[in-house]
Amino acid sequence: MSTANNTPIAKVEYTKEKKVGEGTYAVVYLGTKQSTGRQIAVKEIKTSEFKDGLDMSAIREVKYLQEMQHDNVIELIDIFMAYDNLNLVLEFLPTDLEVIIKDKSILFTPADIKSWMLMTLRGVHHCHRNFILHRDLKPNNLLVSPDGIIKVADFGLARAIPAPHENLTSNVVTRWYRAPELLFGARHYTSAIDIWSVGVIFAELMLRIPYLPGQNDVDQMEVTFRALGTPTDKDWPEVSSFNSYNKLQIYPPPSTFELRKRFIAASENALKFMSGMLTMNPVKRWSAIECLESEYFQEMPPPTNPSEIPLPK
Amino acid sequence: MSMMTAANTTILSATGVSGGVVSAPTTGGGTTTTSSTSTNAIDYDYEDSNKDMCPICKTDRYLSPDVKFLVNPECYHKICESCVDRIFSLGPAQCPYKRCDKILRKNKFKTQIFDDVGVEKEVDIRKRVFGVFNKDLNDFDGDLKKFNEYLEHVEEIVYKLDHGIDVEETERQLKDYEELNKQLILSNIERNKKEFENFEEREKFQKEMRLKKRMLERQIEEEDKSNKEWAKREIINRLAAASTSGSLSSASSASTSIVDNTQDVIESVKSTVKLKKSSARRKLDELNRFLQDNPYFSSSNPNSTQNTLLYQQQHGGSVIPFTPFNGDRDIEPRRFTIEEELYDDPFLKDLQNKKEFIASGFRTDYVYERVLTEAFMGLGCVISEEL
Amino acid sequence: MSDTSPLVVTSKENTPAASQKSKIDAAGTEVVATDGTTESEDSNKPLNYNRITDDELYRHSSQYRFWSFSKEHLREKRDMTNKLAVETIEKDLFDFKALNDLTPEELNALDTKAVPLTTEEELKLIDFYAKKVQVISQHLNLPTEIIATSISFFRKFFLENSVMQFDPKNLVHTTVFLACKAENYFISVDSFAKKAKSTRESILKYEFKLLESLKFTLLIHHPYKPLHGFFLDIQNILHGKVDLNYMGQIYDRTKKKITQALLTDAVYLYTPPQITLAVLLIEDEPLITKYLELKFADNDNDDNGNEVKRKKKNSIDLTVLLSVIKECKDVIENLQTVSTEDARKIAAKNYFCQNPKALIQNLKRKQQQAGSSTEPEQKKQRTE
Repeated sequence: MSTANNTPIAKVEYTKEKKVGEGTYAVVYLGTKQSTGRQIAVKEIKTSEFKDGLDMSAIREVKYLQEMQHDNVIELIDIFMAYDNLNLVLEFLPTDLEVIIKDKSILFTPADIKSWMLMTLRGVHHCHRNFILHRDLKPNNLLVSPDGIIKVADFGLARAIPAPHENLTSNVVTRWYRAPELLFGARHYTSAIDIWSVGVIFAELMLRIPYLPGQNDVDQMEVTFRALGTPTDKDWPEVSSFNSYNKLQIYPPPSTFELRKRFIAASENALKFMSGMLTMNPVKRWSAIECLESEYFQEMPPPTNPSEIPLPK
Repeated sequence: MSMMTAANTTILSATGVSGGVVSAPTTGGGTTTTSSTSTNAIDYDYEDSNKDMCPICKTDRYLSPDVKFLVNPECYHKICESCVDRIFSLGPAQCPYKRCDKILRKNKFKTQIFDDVGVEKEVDIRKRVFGVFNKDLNDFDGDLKKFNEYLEHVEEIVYKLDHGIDVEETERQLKDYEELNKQLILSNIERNKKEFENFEEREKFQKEMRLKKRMLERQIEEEDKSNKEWAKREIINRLAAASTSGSLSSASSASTSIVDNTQDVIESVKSTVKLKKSSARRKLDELNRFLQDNPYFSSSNPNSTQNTLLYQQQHGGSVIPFTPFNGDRDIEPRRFTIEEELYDDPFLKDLQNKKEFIASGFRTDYVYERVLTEAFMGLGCVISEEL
Repeated sequence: MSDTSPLVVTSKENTPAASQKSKIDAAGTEVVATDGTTESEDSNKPLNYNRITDDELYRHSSQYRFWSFSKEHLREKRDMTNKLAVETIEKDLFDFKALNDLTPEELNALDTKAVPLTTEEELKLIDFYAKKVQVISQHLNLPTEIIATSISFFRKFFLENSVMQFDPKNLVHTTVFLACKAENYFISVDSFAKKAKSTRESILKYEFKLLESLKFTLLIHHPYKPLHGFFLDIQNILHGKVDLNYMGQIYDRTKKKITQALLTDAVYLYTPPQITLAVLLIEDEPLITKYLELKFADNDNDDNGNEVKRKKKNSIDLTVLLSVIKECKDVIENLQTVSTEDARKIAAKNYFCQNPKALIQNLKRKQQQAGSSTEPEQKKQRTE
């Protein structure tokens, strides 16, 4: 990656043509890389807004994106400074899985879902292989390129897998995609939290509505355990030692029959694959490697070629 | 279509309606079934031959259209629902038919499915027998001869029970077989269930594919239409442009060249339209090619190795393996193995026993994996030579 | 993680239908194995197939791509940074001389004292302040890895910039502060300023410049995790032959020495595991040599031709490795501490070459109150 040290050159090289989004800490523009004509997105980070200097989200995003070059992780093309603002030049990705799920005019098949899962898991596996936790996986952060490739994006909450004794904050991941150990406030969680999110996304792709839509943090536990059973010490050692455990209503885990009924379109292997990712006990939950080696990916139908998956008009 | 034959076999054998002999291996969907027809060899001693009247209370379907007839598999004598209620509510009682001494229980009565009680009876017998004799070709390691012998044997049992020949002896055979093969029977029940599910899944898959095909076809139609319109407009526009420029540049040789020109313009626009072969059409071609090779469409057994190969071929022209990681993994053997029991790591072992770590899902194997990976990652890079 | 067996899922298959499906499983296994274990060059690869070994993964890191150099390249880089700064300074000095009416005595003072620093002098000053970065972050009770990151940031900044452009002492706190944030150890700038006895303005002033000089790369692979890995692997390879208590001591001592090694150029010339092994070699050469021999020596003694070829792809040539880590060991052992006195002299020179006016004024003052020592001018320079 070439970094443009020189502001004027950078300004000429990348144009910002259209504002497409504005968040608390950044504005996103569509633009063009002049030398190649390639469409790009520029994420301009509003540095002046922060009294503690460079914002943590920006630091994280820059830190981790610089290290990863993978088909299924968003590409950071360049970074430059202009008018005291930090600008991340990212590859242009016109849509995301949330938009696709919500667009009822789009018809997608189990083979399309399989293709998305394969690409998502490859991206997540690459993060984990680099010892990076994403900590905010959701359909909205799985962007889709014009040729249908899934790109894991938004590393504003990411962090390196910590040293064993370090405490982590459990206040990560958007609520609906939050793993049970996070709901309990665990401080020594692992990459298993990302896999849980992928499992919930898989369920959502099949149902086309959010699978575990808790209305608040307390409700999230209720919704999660009602759908998937309240964990007990038997299948998750020491789960009862979490403070919030005592107040819980105990629900039985769903039978295979119930799951089958809920996910009519899923094959046996697809259900097994989903249950592997949505295993309560994080130790027993499947790793990205186990997921990718799942029979689900090897049985019929094969994952659709990404360029043939329908995209929003 | 071969698929349908296969589908029928699956359904029928799953419910046990049809017996028969498999005559050929599965290639080309060559499963054929010979339905056995039942014969009414037994005198049912009808009090009244009227099909629509209860022989006990004489309620007639023409007068009370709601009347429902029930039979009991003990004797298959037809009795209306209210009579069943009346006669058997207090407990088991003898069949009200004359000369029938069977003792019947209310909970065994069921709605008659087939008009012909003879068929009804045979179906029930088949259900029962096939529930026990539930092997398939796989259980004979594909030995067709042995499998056919087995099927003959089963048919014989069904026939005997159905026709009341050696009933006691046959029942004993059935029971003995059940005792001896309990485990196999149970697992075969599971398998049949699964096969049925597979069948449903295939059905669904086909439906989806058909839907997709229809969508693509519709899309192509629309595109063809708009292409035609575009071509028409384009020809007119170009001709108009050509004639104005032509008339300006060379007024003398105009007439002949305009004719040639017109042909050229039409040809060029036509070829552009051809080039515009829509992505929908390309997709449809691909879909058709895919369906041709698809085991769900072409072969009756989705669980064969052949299908895995076909699957692999879908990824390209020749056999390209499916690679879940697409190379994003270290080569085996790796430079280290994790030997947890050999490590003395007092610090980690201490954490491993802390409640909050256990509950969080903390994994020492992940820690070992990480530090060992980092110990050997880049060990083989010689910077002075590489950079 | 069960990396040795890519067949985890297959073996999990436990349904009643498993026996029936054994064939498809066998085929599936083969398919997975192509990806996970074997590497047959002639077989077809899917689109975008790209084999990334762990070494390859390291080559993808920003540390390798931006911050790894050969000795010659590193030298050139420093000379270039120095040369650019010197050119500016000399031009300014030339202008100063031209614009001011100077006495021969003053010109002489300028020619002897207001001289741009050489690459070596710059390096000494950087080393001196890098050590300061370490001391300050230790004083702030920061975790080892953050201390290491602070040192690394500081040294990289001055690989890109000259001390004649940026006074190193102005970057000490900035690097420590950014290192904390980069390592997810957030302290608000105000409390950091309070603890470090600095001001928020001075801490934040060069933060952008620092990030830019770091080429926006913030993730560093330090040798501490490899050390933990080798600590475990030595127990495995030399099982029963090494005292575990002794291993514990080696670990603690090596960890401290690694931080010292991060003050040397080893970080640019070698990879983290190589640095770790070099430091371990300093600690106990016979033990580490024995370990490496047992670990890597008999790689080629395989009967099966294929096996050897495959192993070689990921294997280590022991002779090459030993020569690399011995070189690395020399670089680490070569670390020379810069005395405060030396640093002070270089800093003074650095100050005067950028501020010839101050030198002249000093000279004038000295002439006025003859006989005074150089102390005041030093003080003045340090409080500036």
